[in-house]
Amino acid sequence: MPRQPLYPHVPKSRMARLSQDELRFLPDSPEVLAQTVRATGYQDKLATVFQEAIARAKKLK
Amino acid sequence: MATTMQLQEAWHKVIGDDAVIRTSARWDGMVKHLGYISIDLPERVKDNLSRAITTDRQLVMKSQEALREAKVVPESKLTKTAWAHLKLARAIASHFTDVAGVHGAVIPPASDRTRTAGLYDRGTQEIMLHLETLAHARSTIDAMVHELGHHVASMRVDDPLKAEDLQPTHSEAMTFVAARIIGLTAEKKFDEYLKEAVWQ
Repeated sequence: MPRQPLYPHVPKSRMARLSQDELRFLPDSPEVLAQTVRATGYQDKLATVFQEAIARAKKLK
Repeated sequence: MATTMQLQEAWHKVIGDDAVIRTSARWDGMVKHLGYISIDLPERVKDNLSRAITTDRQLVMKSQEALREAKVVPESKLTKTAWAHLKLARAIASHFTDVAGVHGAVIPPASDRTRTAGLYDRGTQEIMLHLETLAHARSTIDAMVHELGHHVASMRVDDPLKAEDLQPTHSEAMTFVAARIIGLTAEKKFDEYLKEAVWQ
């Protein structure tokens, strides 16, 4: 049975732009996600601003 | 002459289970990302061993093939919390140019040493978030900062390698994305998507 394209709605031309050594999929583990966000220096600020926004949205403040 | 199995046993015993043959510096970042190390060998040894031992390129291509099996989960099948976090992720993505889509998905492990929490598809410019990632707002936001970093970096450079993990262009793009998301959150742009959010 032929493999169905994962995203049939995506124009083929976009796929065609990928060169031979260009990786289509860039996967990330949970550990890498956390480490790299920490490395931006913004992890704490992200946590603070979103927790405030969640509290605001839930009208806990 | 040693058999394939003998060569593999010797390789695992002497070099390690997490080692592949290095054929090109191009694959170094992704090999490390997949939980492996690349071993440099003299050309003659490399040629002999590569019939039995996995090379860096083979490891990366096997990973790409596995990731092709990622399956988008229909919105109707998501939990209430995952759906709330996916809507938040989409709202975040809407502030960045040309992101084609953000989906909840079941994503295969990228290797036998790493799980996959998030994925950027350069072919389609779509972001996939694993259902486990969507269980919490914190992991959803971490993933969006990282994957949008890939997207922004891909738009900024001609050399696709520079948009991959462990590259300065990707790190700089992530920093840009994080700062922008913080600003937008402070401006209350995402409040309407956070009523059902579960931080962690």
